[in-house]
Amino acid sequence: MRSLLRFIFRYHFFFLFLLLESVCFMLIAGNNFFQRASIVNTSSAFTGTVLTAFNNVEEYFSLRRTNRLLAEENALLRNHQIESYLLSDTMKYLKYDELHMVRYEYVPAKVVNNTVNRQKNYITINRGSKYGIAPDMAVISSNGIVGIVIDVTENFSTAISILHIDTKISAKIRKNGYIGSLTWDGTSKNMGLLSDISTYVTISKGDTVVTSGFSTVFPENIMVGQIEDFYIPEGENFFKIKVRFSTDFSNLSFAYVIKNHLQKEQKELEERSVAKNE
Amino acid sequence: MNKYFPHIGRFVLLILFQVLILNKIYLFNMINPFVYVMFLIMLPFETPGWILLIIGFFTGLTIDIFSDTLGMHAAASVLMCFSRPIVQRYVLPREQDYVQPSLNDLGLYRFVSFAGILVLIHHFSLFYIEIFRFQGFFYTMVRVLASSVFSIGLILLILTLINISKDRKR
Repeated sequence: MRSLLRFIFRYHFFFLFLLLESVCFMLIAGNNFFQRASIVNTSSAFTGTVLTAFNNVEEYFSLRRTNRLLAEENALLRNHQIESYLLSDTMKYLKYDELHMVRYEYVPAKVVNNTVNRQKNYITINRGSKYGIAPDMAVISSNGIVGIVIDVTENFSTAISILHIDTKISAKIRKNGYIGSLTWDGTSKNMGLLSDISTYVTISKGDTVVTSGFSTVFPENIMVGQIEDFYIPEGENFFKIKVRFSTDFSNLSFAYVIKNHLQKEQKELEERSVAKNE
Repeated sequence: MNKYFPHIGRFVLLILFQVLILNKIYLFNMINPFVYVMFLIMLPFETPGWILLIIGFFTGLTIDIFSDTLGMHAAASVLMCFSRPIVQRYVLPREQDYVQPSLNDLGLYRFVSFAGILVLIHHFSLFYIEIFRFQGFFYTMVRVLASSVFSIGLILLILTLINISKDRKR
């Protein structure tokens, strides 16, 4: 026992190194994409507050741009107002209003922390469980998709960005409705990769890609981006399509979190049907 | 207390600089500098090994907490602190008694080789831990090399600026 202690003491530098590295890797492993400890990340009260304070200053640098974006969006929303339409008859029809309830609810939020320089990027926003935000809600900007909420505290939530090598989102080509899956390969903050589109589909550069609405997270027809380039890998029957994101991830300041009020119901039904067939 | 003050000041300033500004930089889709390692490189030579490791761990952890990468910067920093005495043995001759691992005491050539190897070790482990797969190995390697060069350049720039302002005061 004593010689063991002496041995450890003699090589304490090496053993301490091993110990600390294993602690690090335990932290990394326990803090992966799906289960991230909420005490020590940017959604915690302390770091969230510090980042918000800095963001308050930083915001001034992009005020002009943000103002323009908000004004554009205001104009768009005004166009959608009921007064802007010529009502041809008295019948009102809302697609998802079967039970007189809203299906999607938008919560505006401010982006307080956002990275684009890693392979796994996250976004912190200043709305948390107080505003009813929960994991698996979609985050969009006025230009298009941004990410998915994965962790919530009372006042903040973190979302996994589309710029994360593990994200996969169901998207479709707007003009013909063909559905593929959108991923990010980590090389450019402006480009995503749309795959699983068969080669018999006619596509062209500049076609618009939107969300498919198949997942319970994103509503249908949220803007993703435009086709920049595409090719067929040798020996494959599917296109590899490069999509230029409509969202400028390096300049995010405002976002909306989308609550899907029917998400739970749809998920439960789907899980039940799967369980029944097994 | 006076002896520790420059290090504490450097720690706070570098962490803030890293978290608030450098973490948002991404040049040419590959360069992402990490300058906070300068604090670990510039700890005095007489620091005992175990203190070096522990300081490295907590410095990395502080960066991690602010950038949602729990464990990654800590792991890279601990590895860098572990290799610091080894690099020191090979790069710096033993006879000479250096006061501090600083640009002024080591001279440009020695400082760049000492800091350069350590920054490379740190960036290499950090970028590969982050991606955690061999897919895109060469792309990650290019990111490591480009970011390291940029980080070292920034470190030299900061130290030169400090030197200039010190000269003015005299």
